[in-house]
Amino acid sequence: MTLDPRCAGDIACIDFAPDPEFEPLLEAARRLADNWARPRAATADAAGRARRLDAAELMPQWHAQACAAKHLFLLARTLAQGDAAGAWHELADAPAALLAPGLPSCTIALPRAAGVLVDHVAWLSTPAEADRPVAWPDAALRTLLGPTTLPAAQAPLIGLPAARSLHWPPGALCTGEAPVLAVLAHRAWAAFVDAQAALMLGLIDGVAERLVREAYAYARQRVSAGKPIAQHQAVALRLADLALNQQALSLYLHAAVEHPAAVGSADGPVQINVAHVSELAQRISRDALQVAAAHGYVEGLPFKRLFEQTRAFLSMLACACGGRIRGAMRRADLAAAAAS
Amino acid sequence: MKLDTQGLLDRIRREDPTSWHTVEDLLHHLPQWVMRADEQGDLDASFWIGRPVEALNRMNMPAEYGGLALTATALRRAVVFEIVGRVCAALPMAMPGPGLAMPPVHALGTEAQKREFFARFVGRDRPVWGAFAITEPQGGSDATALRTVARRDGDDYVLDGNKCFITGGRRADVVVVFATIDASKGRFGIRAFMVDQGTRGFAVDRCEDMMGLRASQLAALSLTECRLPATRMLGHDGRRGPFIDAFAGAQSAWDFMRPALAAGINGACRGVLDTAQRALDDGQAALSAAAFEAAQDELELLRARVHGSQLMALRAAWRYDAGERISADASMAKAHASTLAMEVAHRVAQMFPLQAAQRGHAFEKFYRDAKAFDILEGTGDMQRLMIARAYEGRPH
Repeated sequence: MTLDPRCAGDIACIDFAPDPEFEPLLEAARRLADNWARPRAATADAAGRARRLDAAELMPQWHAQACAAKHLFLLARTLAQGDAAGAWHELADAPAALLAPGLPSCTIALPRAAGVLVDHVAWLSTPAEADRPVAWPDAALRTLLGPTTLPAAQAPLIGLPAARSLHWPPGALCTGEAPVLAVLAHRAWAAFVDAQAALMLGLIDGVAERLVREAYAYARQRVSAGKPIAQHQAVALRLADLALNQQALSLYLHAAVEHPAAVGSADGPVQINVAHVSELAQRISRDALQVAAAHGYVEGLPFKRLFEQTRAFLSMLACACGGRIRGAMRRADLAAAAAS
Repeated sequence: MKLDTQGLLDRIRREDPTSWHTVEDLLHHLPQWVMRADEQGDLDASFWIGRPVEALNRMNMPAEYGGLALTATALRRAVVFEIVGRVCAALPMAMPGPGLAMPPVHALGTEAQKREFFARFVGRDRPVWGAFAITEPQGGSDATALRTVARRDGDDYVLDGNKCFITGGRRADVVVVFATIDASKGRFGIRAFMVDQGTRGFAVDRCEDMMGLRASQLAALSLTECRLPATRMLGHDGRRGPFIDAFAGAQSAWDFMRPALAAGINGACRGVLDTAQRALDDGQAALSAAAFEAAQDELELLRARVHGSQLMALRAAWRYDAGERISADASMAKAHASTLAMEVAHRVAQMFPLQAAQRGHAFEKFYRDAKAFDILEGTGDMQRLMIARAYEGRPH
């Protein structure tokens, strides 16, 4: 059918094409991810890799252009398709670059709720990060306090053997007499939370896409009853639902980190519903592993690792975002933050 | 990514205010007719008095043959169907115009056939409908296994067979009927014919008593020694010979309509969620404070799911307008929206059990309508098989 000439104008309003200006960095990320995904690199310790993309250095510039969350999301999504642990290590420090200029490399402890006597959480993507100072925000989110020592409560993370989960019980990190490490710029903490969420969401999205690819690849080569299991209808239906859910998740996340207005109306900013993200992502990981059945359940194929990593990143997202992000991606707020 | 749907609607309004008035008129008048249309299984003839019928007839038509700016692109169809769908899921399917008959005519017809077909819908002061007839009693999902035959007899073709579940089949002035000229050739023997209502040998046997989407009207048609000039075969230029891939024409219809259909379903979901929110705020759910919070969370989660579904429909439409093949995207958008609609219907019904069982209530109606989405225009199961096959073939 001949395309109506009005299509070109309509695409100015609704357009899913990638951003050409960001494409070179994204291409570099793809090459990195491809290297990580190759079997001989699969067991390489993420801690041994030097950071390549310098995302942390680029964050202030992206923030000024109101695209920090989007770019971090896209990078995380791309890299995670190769190796999610490597992707997280590569980008873990990027959100903190928005807190204050010249802030030394440190681990940021996140309050689980508003108020003074609250518990805090943080994560180390690699053991090397244990040597860094830990900082945390004051109750008003205007200064960064620290440093403090790592807590006694440290736990390995499911699916990320080199990583650690840190927890300080309520009152352990008090604002009282703690020294000020840095004064936060206006709305810097909100920008940091947005970026942290964008990073987690990108990792979740990238792992989901990798899971779907692996499921289809497995179903093509695994033969049962004389034909690849992809040609058995029950498996084909499951594979289709995998594709459906992954596309729905990916589009939802991308729109949420990039576009503040709800689709089809001017009702206000999109709210990233963490419960929805969680439900979809875990369904994808569950169904992808199911395609590989017992072979997916044991060490060897990537399903077990990816299933566990999905769980880890979802938990981190829930902790970092308190269940819901409201108005986190308002373009006006980002512009105001950049102007301050 | 750009998602300025309001900007697109503003663009349409500026470009063609007459076109836009058609939507505004529908949005203003349809709500009063929703329940009556559901009860009667049709939009009453009196609905069309005072409506912009001349414009409505030209919806979903190519611009070069007089089509409206309102539905000139897939993106426009998606955003318009979504906002109309918020009023009622069924009524967009009852609107006049060529409907699904348009794509095969446009894809397969000769220039003379296209001009003759589309002229029926231009400058008319009464509603004019087209219909698309491929499904048969023994073959729905397996559309290539047609039993309706077209036998060549001199300069004519004689059609014999039955069609069922044909949207708007009774009200259509012209029906594009798919028949086989050689069953041994499977899909390659299929051809499409334009059949006018009233043609000798063509009959509307009945309209089905549907559970939901009642105003869309599904009809059973029969063709008994139905004689047509050979020039009524789409693509027939008077000579015997060249292969006409009519099944590709049928596929073009589904690719054309599915993004808009998915958008309409998403609109219906949004409409019912908005109604549920108002009902929740008004205390109609009779919930404790804690249960109210849980219900609020549930509505927000459903809204998030609908948002993802809306994006899938928009992206399928965007790819169609970019000239890409979108069969897999169209299937994904439609399958996802259909499954979600049933989920929304169920959860809202759980939240408002009294209302969901009252005949004539919006929640009760949506519960019946939503089930149809997973069946019409390709069942969710068949969509999924197509998606799986398409993804299997993608480079990994």
